[in-house]
Amino acid sequence: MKRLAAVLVAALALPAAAQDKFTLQLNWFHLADHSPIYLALKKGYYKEENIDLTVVRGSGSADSAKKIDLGQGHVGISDAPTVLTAISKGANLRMVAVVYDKAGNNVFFKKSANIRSPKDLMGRKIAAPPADSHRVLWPAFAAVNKLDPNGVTLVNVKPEGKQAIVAGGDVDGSFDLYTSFAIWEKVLGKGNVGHLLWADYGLPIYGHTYFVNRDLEKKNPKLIERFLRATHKGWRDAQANPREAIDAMAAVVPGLDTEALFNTTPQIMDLCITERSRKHGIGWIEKDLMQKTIDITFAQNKPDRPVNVDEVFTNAYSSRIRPLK
Amino acid sequence: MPSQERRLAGVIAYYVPSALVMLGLVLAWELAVTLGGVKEYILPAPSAAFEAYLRPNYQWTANFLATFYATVGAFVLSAVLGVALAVAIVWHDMLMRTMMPVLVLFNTLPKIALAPLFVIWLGYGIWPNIVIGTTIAFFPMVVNTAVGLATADPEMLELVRSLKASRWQVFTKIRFPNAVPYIFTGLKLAATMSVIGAIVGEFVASERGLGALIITGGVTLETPSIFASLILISVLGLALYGVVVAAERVVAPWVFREQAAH
Repeated sequence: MKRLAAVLVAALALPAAAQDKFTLQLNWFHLADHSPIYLALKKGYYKEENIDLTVVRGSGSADSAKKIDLGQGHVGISDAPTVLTAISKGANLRMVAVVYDKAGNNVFFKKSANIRSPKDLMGRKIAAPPADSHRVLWPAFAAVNKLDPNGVTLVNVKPEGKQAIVAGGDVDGSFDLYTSFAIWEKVLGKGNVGHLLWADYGLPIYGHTYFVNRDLEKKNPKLIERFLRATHKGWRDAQANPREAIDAMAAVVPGLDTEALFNTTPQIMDLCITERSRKHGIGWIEKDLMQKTIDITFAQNKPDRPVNVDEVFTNAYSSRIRPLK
Repeated sequence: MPSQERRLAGVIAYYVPSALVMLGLVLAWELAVTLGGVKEYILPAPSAAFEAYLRPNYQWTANFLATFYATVGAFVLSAVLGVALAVAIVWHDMLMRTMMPVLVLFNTLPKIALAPLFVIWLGYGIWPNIVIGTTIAFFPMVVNTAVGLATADPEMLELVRSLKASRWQVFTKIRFPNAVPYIFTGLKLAATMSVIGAIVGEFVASERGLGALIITGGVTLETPSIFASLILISVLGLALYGVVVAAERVVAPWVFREQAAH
């Protein structure tokens, strides 16, 4: 009898052992907006969903879009415009949730540069790292503000060098996500950092999104839902305790400047937790806003093939997990 | 002129196989992509890369010229600096002992890792790229030239010394002519390394250039423009190399005669 019980216990324990291997391809190296994933890992939310998660460092949105298209991972994080561009070039992808409800596209400069509105950017030199979507979006942002996109000289710079090149005075400012604010304060000095958030000047688009290869939707749609549920639980908990999330990431990923990362968390939560995510749950995608993102992405360069808003995203796997009040 | 015709036939027979192999490879690539259904943004067919040249938004002339100036600048600067430094260290034994370890140490540093520092110190543009290219290309110039100057035939040196030749005469009549083939070897290496330097600089920070096009193409998934840029970069490297070989034929024709005799 005892032996039978032991066998039964072993049998019941089996499903836990057979966890689904799952690879998440990040957009970039580890930043504060990845910390909720590590909080979810620490709290065992992925394990609860039977997911054995591997997180892979990224090297740019375009690269993670390519990797997911080639089947080298389950879910990727990339800028929506980059995913859309990849889809227009035949990549077999679909967005399943947004990371940020409001895009963090932004320009940083020294306060002394006297830039108060987008038109003050005219005639200036702005560093534009090639590894993010600002370059793609700039013509659209200029057009919305009735400015000539060629009125600004865009300087290609390695992402790591953008603060240094502004501090050195070679350029007047740099495109960079609003979420890097603390890093800019560290380099330029507290109180010396000026910025324009593009969303405040008429650029309503989506930024970072989670996306999958559509083959995964056919093979195992439930897996996507389970991943999003665990991830969004992590976001909800990080909202309550961002310090714990950063520490959870720093415990696994070596070489992080936890203080600088922690200081960027207020901006990150600003962009993620909005009226829309309160209403529908974290990561919910609004069709109108996705359509605008498509329009802006392809305003200058026509897509290689038509991009249909109903094809590029779905809320079918939405976690429906709401942020804290 | 039957002998000239025979020479021409010989030249054709010499180059045709390599040209055919090259053509075959391009053809196989084209077919593999079109028949294999490879997505263009993953690997474009060669024809797609060539089509990219027709698109004016890439501003090929301006981008090519930016890389061209940086490359030629780095090449000329490393040639002049390299030869001058080699002469100095061979001339004074003290300099050899003090400078050489510094040069070797500097050469062990990966210049690609130094490039972001140059951007912080010097800003960006053609001049900083020339400096980056020079740091990569000048070392083979120094080492080759120094070896050429130092390895003059000792018996010959003994002879001219016994004839009371001045140090200057020894240098100009014996050491320098001996170094000429070595200098050209250094120049050939510097030619290709200057191109690498210019591209590395453009990768880090640039307004234009073929390196800038490659970086932007990688982000916007305009893969054909990356291949089109790569083709131009190899053409630039080959052309510079060709110029060095042609100059060598004019300046040091005996090197070719010796090679032909072997």
